[in-house]
Amino acid sequence: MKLLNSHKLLLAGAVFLSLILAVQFVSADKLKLKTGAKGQLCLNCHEGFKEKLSQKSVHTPVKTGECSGCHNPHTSSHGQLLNSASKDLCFSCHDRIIPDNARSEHKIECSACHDAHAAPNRYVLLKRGNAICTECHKEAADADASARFRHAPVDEIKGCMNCHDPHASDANDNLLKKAVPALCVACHETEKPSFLERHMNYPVEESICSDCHDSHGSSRAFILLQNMHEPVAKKQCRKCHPDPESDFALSTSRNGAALCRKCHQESTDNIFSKKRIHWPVLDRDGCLNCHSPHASSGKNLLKGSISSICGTCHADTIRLQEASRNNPENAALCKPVKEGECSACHSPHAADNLLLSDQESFSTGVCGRCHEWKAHSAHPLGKDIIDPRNKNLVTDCLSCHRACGTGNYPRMTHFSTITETCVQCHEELDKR
Amino acid sequence: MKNWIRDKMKALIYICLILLLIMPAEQIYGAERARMTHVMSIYDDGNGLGILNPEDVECSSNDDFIVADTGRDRLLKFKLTGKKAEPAGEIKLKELRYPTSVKTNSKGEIFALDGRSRKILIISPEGEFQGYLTPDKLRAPSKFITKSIHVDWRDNIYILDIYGQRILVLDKDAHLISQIRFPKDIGFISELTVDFKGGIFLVDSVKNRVYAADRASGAMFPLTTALDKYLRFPTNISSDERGRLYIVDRNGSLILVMAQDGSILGELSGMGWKDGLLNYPAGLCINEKHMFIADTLNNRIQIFRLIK
Repeated sequence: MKLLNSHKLLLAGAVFLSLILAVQFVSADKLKLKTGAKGQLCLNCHEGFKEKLSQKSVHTPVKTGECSGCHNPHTSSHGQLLNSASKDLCFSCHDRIIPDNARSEHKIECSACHDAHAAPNRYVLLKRGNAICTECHKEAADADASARFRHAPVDEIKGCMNCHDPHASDANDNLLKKAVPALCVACHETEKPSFLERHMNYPVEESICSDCHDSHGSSRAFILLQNMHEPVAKKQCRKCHPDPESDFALSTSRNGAALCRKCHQESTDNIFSKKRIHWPVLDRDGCLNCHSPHASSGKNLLKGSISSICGTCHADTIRLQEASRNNPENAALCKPVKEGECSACHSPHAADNLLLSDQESFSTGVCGRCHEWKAHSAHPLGKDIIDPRNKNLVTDCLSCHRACGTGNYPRMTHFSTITETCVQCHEELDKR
Repeated sequence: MKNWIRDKMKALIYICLILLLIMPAEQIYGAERARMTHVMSIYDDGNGLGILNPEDVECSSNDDFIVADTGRDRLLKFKLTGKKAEPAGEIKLKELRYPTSVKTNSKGEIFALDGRSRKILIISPEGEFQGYLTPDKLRAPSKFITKSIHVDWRDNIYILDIYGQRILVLDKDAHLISQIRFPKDIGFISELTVDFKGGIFLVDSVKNRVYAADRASGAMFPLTTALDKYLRFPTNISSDERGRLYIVDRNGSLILVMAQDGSILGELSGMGWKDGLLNYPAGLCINEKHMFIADTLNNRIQIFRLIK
């Protein structure tokens, strides 16, 4: 009983002590500053801030002199004597800026756009309007500047913020405030005769507008994407779709590659005559897995860059490719790997050889297009040199290298060091 | 003295109890660990012509096996006796220009998928072309494109149709028994397998997932989450006589062994050129004794013995 009582006493004591400590910790006056010392004390030394604080927009804790809300005046593990990592510090007050499970999130430091102390613009923004966005999104800025036909909201004061949330979007990609087409039809009245006429009376109000239009501006009228599929440019919708009055107006007369074959007969037949067809060509979406049927900003009506399209399925290979590209030891990296041009070595539609190669020997045939492999080194290579590890292989480029990249390994070799590569065949070196 | 004996007896009883607890656990988990040992590699047809980029291999319970020698446009038959693989003939047909998948039924009939025509050839055990497998009474869509085939122990034929996004289940006479829709939100389904109880499994190369058919409804559901930690680009799945699943990771050059509840039992082999290692493997077949792997970029068939 005595023992039980002493335990209770100890527990109560511990709780009491913890409470005192907690109260001390959360206390605003934890630094025991002199009366009236707060922000003023800091400004005694940091004189340059006095001018800064006269700016239009001042961050509230700065205004109230709560410098220690963000900085520790004595010591810190973080730069600029911050109490914690900068983003965590901001989120300690602005916790709802990024919704939980956000679909898209602007993954930058808050300080890229905001000044933590004061700035001449609202929300302590470093710059006004679109200038803050174009600081990083230079390509968009250049495209916008050169666009003959502009999208009015981009030029308004709110600019980019008309459509994008600068911090995150809980339900949409690309930080969009609403999904397309809901975002577009909020301004564009789809019932208007002019809208219907321009869309050949097809019921496009639920279609993805950005499949044909560049919402940032374009050199084509009606901000259409740069490269139009010929039937679209000529308003020949009926080449693929039924009449606009049909109940299934947006359906297509055929599915997959069969639809494209109606016009692209020769190239389609060529694809289907090969031994190996890239499987996506054969499914119900067929060509549309990689190509846009209406318009595209890229060549060949591709939905994006080659590596981004290939990466939708072959993400593991693209990851290795990117890692090889970013490896400083790979300054002289194979050009197609460097540029993400998968189609320089692979035929994306079909081929007669493994790995969708148009050459029987991937090594000498494909690598040999750019590399004079016979002069590569003193190492014997070629069809007469049998690989000592496997009598059904000859020694060639792929004996030591992997053509798509090998992540962090130098020179796209299969192993991390040259020695490790050599001893795969030259075992006697390993035993020394 | 009495106390001393009592203490010792107590200790002995505790030790026995602990041992009793440990032993069954070791039996369960120890047995489920996947291991194998390399038996041999087949490099040629027995007449000196090397195998080139083989993409599939089919085996029977008596260790006969057929190789889809894809790069040489032929099928090769072998019989494994002891530690020797005897060539048992070559099948070369004008209709079979690029065999990518090969399966057999209980009568020894061969079903071979031709990559070029994307048709399934029926070939007699003697190697004669019998015709094409054409599903009877196919429901919409009437078109199908075969990615892969499987034949179960009842001789039912399963066609992985990537056009219709479904599995077509046919009886031995090619009459449609059922069609099972692919699950939603898939990446790309590369292969199917059917275990000894008739359970259907699919492997998704893009999402690195395995799907299983629900026994009651028949609908496919994800058996695993994305196995990104283990797999890079899985393209084949097979099951053994105990229902364990063997997933071939083509880009990762390894075999992942999984229980039917989705738990991982081990990884076998790895990337390399020497015997026992794999480079861009494709097909896999398991019988009671052996595992046969089409080691595509190593231009060989490798035979392993599973250690039980």
